[in-house]
Amino acid sequence: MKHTPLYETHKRLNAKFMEFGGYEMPLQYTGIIEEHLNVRNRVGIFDVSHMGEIFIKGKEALAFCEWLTPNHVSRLTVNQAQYSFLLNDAGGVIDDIIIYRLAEDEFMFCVNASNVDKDYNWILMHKRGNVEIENRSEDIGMISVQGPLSSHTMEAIFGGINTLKRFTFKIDSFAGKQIIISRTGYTGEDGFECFIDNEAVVKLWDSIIEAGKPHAIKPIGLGARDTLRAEMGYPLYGMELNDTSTPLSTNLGWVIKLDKAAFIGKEALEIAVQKGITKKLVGIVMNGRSIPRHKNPVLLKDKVIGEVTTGTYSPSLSRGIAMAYVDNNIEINEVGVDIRGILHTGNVIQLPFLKK
Amino acid sequence: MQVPRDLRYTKDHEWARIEKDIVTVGITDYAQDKLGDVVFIEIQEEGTTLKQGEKFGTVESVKSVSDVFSPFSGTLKEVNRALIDNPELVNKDPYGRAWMIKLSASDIENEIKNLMDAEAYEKYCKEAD
Repeated sequence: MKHTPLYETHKRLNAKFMEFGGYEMPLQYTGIIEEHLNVRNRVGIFDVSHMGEIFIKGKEALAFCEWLTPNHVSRLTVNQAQYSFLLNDAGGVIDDIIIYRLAEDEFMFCVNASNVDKDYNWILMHKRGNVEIENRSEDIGMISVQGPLSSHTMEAIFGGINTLKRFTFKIDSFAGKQIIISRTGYTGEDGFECFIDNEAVVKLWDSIIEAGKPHAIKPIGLGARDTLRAEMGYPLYGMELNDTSTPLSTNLGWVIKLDKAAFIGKEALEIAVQKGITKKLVGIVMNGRSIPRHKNPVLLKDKVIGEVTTGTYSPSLSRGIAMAYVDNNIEINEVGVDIRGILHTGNVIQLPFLKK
Repeated sequence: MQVPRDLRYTKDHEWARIEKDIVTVGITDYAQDKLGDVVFIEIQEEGTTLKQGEKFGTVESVKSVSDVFSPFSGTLKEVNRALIDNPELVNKDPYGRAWMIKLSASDIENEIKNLMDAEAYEKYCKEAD
């Protein structure tokens, strides 16, 4: 298994590890609930160096990115970031990504760890025009700082960072290396994501921990990262998103810009829209204490109307919560979730679970 | 990792405290540490007859679900209601306030051979890691 530059740091912090995207990553340090609440109430630091970074550069980089992805890349100004997808010809999701416009003719795609090779090969295979494509995932580390006190923490190291708007970034230097700091995240809280050369990752981590001490910063594992994103109803590749279904049934339909010129997957999505979207992604808050899990059937009366994609415990709501695709054409309030053979009831809600 | 000397242990990480023919059962410190934050516990009704090794409940953490198994055959006499209401006790006090059931055991003498003492259990956990 691969390790990030922070592996020894995590071991010293007594992390419990898990395999994720080919990496041995911290699942938790002191406990998922405590870590989760620290991000909601204060600030947390995450090692997400397993995430991938693919660079696209050249005279025709913009046109190429427009062709590769369904959102309006041309609307990005330099130093702005955008949530998007890589779609296949059938409109299925190869990956969900964030596109950073580093310069007029240079873009960085931040991609999921488990999809780096798939994404990189897909991009190479569809290469068009005068562009250079480089996968620097193995050389770049990534640290995420999230929570209401994240800006206080980051401001202490990078003065002026407070003025960054959501989904914008700035390029600075740290320990002699270039650093990209963006005001983005995956938790629903204010937060920053930092990309830096592997060599400087440990130093950056230590500096942020030091700067965050007055704010009771805590290291956060992937366990809490998952419960944080689940409470916000953020889809995850492999759960809500996959190669065989389009994102039109998710709450991310806004990413797809069918009014823009040709892009990979557009025709399939147009046909899907014409035929009508038959499923929708909803949230379910359980009535009792039971916790729904991935793949549990969702029932309306006696009929199965869907399946849980993400099911977990919400530390903020102290309840079991689930996301599920259900039939679009029925008005539903209460459903049953079949959890290991026993039916439990829950209320259907509009995502997110946590209104902010 | 705590492994009290006066208890017996199963391969599924339950502990058993034997007092005459009444056996108190819970899950071990090792098990709670592996599970992480416990958020939900389900236990069968009092009066249920259990065989040795039979499932008597479920323990859920944020990330995972584990069944718990009876260390002895017998009748389920008492369920720890306070634990059902405060599942996090499993993480805080696995051998004390987080006891799960009391069992009226029917054949301790024979069945105890299938359990480990503290020393053997400690070794068993080390090998598992």
